[in-house]
Amino acid sequence: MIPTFAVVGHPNKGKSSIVATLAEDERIGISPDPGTTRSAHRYTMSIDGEPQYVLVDTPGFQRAKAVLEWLEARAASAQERPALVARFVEQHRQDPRFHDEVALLEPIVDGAGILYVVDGTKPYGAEYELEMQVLQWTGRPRMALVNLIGDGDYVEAWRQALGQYFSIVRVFDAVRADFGKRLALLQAFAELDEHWRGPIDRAVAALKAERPRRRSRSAAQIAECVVACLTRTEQASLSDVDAASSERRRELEAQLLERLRDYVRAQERQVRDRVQALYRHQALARQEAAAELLAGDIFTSEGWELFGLSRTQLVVSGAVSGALAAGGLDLLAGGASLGLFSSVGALIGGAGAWFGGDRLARIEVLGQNLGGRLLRVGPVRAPNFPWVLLGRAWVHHSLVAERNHARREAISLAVADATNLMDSIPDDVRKDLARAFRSLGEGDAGADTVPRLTALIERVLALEAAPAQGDR
Amino acid sequence: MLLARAVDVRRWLRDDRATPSSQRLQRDRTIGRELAASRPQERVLAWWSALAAAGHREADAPSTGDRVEAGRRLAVALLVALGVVFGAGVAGVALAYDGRHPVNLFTLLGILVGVPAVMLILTLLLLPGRMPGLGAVQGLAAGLNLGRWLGAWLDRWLGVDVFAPHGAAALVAGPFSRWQVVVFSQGLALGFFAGVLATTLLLVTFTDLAFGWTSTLDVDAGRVERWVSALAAPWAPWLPAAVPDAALVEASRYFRLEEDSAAVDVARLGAWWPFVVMVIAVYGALPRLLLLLLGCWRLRRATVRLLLDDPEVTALLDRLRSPLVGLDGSADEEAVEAPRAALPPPRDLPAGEGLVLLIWNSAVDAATAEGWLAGHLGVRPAAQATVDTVHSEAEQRARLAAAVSALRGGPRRVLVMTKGWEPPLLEFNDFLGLIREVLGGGCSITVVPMSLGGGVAANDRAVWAGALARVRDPHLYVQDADA
Repeated sequence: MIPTFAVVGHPNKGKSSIVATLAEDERIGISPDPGTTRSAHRYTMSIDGEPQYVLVDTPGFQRAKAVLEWLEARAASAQERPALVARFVEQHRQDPRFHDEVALLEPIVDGAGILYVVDGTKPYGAEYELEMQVLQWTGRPRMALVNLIGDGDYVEAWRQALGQYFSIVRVFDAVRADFGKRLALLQAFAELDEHWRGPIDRAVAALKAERPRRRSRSAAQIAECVVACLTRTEQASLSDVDAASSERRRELEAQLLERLRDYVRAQERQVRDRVQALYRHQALARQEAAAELLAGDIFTSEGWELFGLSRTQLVVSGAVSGALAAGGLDLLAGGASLGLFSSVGALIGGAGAWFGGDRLARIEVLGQNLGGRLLRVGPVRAPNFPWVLLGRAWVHHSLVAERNHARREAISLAVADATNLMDSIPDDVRKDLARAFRSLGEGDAGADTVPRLTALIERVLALEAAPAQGDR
Repeated sequence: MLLARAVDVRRWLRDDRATPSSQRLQRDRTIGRELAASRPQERVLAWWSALAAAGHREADAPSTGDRVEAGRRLAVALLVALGVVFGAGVAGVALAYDGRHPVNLFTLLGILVGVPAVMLILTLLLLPGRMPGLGAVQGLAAGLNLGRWLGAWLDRWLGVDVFAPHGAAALVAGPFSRWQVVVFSQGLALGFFAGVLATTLLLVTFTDLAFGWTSTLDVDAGRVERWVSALAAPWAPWLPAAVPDAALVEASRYFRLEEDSAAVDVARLGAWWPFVVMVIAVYGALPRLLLLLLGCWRLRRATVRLLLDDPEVTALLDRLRSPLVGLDGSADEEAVEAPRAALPPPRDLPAGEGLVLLIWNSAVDAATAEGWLAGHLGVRPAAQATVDTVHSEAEQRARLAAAVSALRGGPRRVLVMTKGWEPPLLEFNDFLGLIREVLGGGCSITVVPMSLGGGVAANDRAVWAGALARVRDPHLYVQDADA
């Protein structure tokens, strides 16, 4: 039988949050209003279509005392109690008074293990014992989860009370639990019944393996976006009259530049949607407008300072590029030039990065085969541009990857934490990235560019982006 | 056909992006589990066939990929033909012999072998990709390379992004484009040498050609003979007829001012032709042939990479290989009861007379409750009781009855203090019903959802007011937080 876990408890204690977290399902209704969950919903974890375990989100107890009274009125031996609970379910299936109790007890009667959820930030109350007693009557293996919804701390009191009814009591913050904690909880489920060990272990292994796959898929999406943005050009025909009028030309340049910006914005939006889809956070995009910096326009100076390389890093990067570019001449001179060309190249590269850092794109007027001229804007030449793209994507990925599916507010960043973002990238990765960006900017990108860039970006994504901490 | 499949697969996968991610995972993993092939390229091609078999795509013919493949074949054929014509023309000019002076071997080999050799070097410069310090030279080489222009033109003509990705601005965009440029240009070059050799042989056969050499420099015949021997070294052991001897070299020198060339054995001057043919074949055509073979071999590998390095194909292989982790459920809730009107705060503040205080589920202790009443409402309850869920209904009823039994004139208002941090349950509604039953329908009931701090929390009040509105009791109120 497939391990099945019914998540039960008082209303509004985070049952749906726990299910949303474990099932990675942001569609599960979570609301401060009690009674949001009206019926039991099953969430199946499967590997290649083969179910490994099932989580059942249930409505909360509404009339635990009445249920217990019904059961006690028909007092039976301990051995007969589970059958009595089954009888209760059977007899009250059509009874609107016990709609919620039937819905929550039904999967348990059918063989589910019990995950009883309480809120450890609110005081323990004796009325909870009625629910625990009803669950005890079912005779099913059960575990108590102390969820942490608010700010109070009554965990110890809860532990003592729950310890009398549950063999396993764990504290689990459904909204803030990271991936590791989610897996640890899942592994604990297996302790309820030794027969469940195999499927649960397989599920945990599959989820663990899925993690780097998602990162790798995200890196590929980001790399493709970077390539597309770095190689994009916008062009328009320029009549001789337009070409002669500097005002008209400037106007057209501005239009093309805006088109280029729009393209980049669209690419960014697209890659965000895809990354969020990979992590099953599709709905997050709808809330994105409320996010602060990530939703902000990529072409703002604030964003560039935040996500890109610092001025110093840019100059160093430009100097290294210049030295490399001119180094060939030193090699040709067989060392006789004493590194003169490399030095001059470094100077030019560094100065170019310093003075040209704010220039967005190359603007050219080209001749056309059939007469007239062509005004071409792009590709984007600003040295910091790919770093800004990468920085934003990196932060976004970090936020999304660690984000819990029980959280419903928009993603946001703590600006203060976002400084020195690029400092955390290892030097060798940064150099390789700089080389890849340069090669793209120079139109030397081939089919292998995206895989190479993907591998580098994957290494970056594996690092923790500092600003992401602000969201946790 | 690999290029055709690479183009089709890449294009199809681009369009497939519109398909929801979960469907793609499901579809591809289902196919992937059935695939026997283990090599990535074979897996992709098998997936492509399976896709058509399963009806996920139309097996249309000819596809864009087929057109690209055909376009490429046509381009190569045209280049070879162009090379043949061009080679024949150049050879015809270079071997022009009017009978007055022999064909100058230096000029002839310079045109037919020297210039192509320079072009070959320029092509080779494109192969390593952009080299530091050589950008200008590589740019020149790219600009002179007909294969590169043809690739960009083919892309435009076929509406694809295969031969010159990232536009014409790209110098040598990746291995596939690079080796395709090599194959294109070597096809042209081999055609050129075929034309040259054919023309040379035709002229040798059907005309009387005379070859000689001349130089303004002080070059003696001995030195030229050494050069010639060095050039002929590769074939000297097995084709001695194509190795001019010293006497022939000596006899072939001429000076244009020297009119008396009759002293030279004119018939002997034609004996250079095997050497000329071999120089063209070995130093002109052979390197091109070898480069073409290398190009074809590398192009095939690059075509495989073109297919496998595409990010969508990489993602596809990942989908084919990776177990499909499903976390599926029916999360869509049925509509919760429509937003209800929240219960208002009580219009008439309860006076102390006839006020019954009920503390539900030990929400607060009696002293705190009385303190809150005195502090916030300025009243003292006339009667009070503590009732819990855990009490049986009979006991609850008894406690209520006991509380009101001492009241003269009966209860007028009831104030129920409850845990505001706990949600309102139907059990509480049952309790409200019990209050009505025991105390009568005339008195007002005000629910006070207490916070842990002792007051009424605004957010808790809203939840309680919303939930209790469903009870539809006209005399039921929820206490405001700031009262």
